[in-house]
Amino acid sequence: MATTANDLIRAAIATSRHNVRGETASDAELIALIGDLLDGYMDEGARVNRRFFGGRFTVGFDATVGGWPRPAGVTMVAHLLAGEGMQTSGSVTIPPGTEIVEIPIDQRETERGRPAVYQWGQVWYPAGRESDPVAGELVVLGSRRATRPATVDDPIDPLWPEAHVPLLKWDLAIYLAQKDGEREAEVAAFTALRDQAHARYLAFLQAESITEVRDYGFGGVFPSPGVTPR
Amino acid sequence: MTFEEVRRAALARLMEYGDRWPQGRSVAYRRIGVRQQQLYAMAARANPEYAGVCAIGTLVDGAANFAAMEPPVLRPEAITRVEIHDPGESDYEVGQRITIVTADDPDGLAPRAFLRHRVLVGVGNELAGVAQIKVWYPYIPEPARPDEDGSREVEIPDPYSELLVIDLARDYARKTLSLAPDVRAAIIRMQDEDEAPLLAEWIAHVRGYAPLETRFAR
Repeated sequence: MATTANDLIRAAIATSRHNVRGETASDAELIALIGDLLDGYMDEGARVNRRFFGGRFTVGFDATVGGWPRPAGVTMVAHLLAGEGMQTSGSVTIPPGTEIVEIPIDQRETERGRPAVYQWGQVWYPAGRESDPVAGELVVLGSRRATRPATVDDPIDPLWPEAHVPLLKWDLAIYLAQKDGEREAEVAAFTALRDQAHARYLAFLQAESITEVRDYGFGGVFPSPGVTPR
Repeated sequence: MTFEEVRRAALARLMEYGDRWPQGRSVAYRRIGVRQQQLYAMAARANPEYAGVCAIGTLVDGAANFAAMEPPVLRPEAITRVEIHDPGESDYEVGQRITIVTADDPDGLAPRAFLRHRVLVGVGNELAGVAQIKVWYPYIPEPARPDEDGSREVEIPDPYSELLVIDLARDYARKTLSLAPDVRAAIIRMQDEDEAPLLAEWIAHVRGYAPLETRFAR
């Protein structure tokens, strides 16, 4: 059964006899904090492992801006693909699934062999060559933002691994102790436990899957410290 | 093996050294194309017959422009023979050799011609009336155009296509800023060491491709 915001708040309250539910901090305050923590940790996790919190977003061409707006729920874009109905300026259909290349505005002649867009102000625009898309759907593969809980009964984001709920718990416990005041010893102890949980979370993301087979690049069991799995 | 497959193989060659390499593919395709031209240029000197082709050129006012020859002319690396293909109104015979001479030493057997900037021009009026000439030469492959998608097959046969892979891997190493200088030098040295014997085998393959019987040393 998935952990809810209520489960998490209860666990955090239970870390100290000084905590009183509804008095040390309101539930609404802690629910918002859980959302902030999830946002931050999932954003950080995307930089360690771009697949784990991955989402697939389909964006329609917006004629009013002349491009495809960046989805609000994506924290890091990893791939762009052609969706349904994508066509070039010459009315040639780009098959769904074709890789769309993002090129810089000042190098719009690069990668002329592949359909391309450039991004400006969170909108992907056609790069302007005959082979570039000008209509249809753009599929954005990237890491997504956390789903923030709104009530105490809401579950924690389903992509958040249950084994790493303690990371959130210790952050809540630190917050409660800091807010209560004069509990420096608890803050220090909880911070040490939070840091341990954080290290375990990052270690998990670095090697959460060992099945990926690649022609090049690293994705194996023991990536070297300087290498980020793709 | 396609241009894209060469690129992927080059990246696979480098994967022990990191995962940050130049991303643009069209630049890699261009490098592959240029290296393939260099290898065919070497082959043309080792054995002009190996990549030998012929093209027919029509004479206009006693001159034939190679750029207008048919079939669409493969890029010539070195002309080995020019002959009469269609004598037209001249007295020459089909297959009669045209002597290529230089402007500062034009002596030779008729019909003679200068070959300057890819245009064949008869000496005096020695090609007057000739309708077509035939040019024999080893070609070099076309480089990659900027709009190619990497699906074109490379022309150099296996296993020598690995020479393209080695060269691109070395090129990547040269251009990757994040590599420590000693690591970069080690990668380049390793590619050089892999390339040398294979390059020698490529030239040996080109020379020994067919049992040539020639009266002149090559």
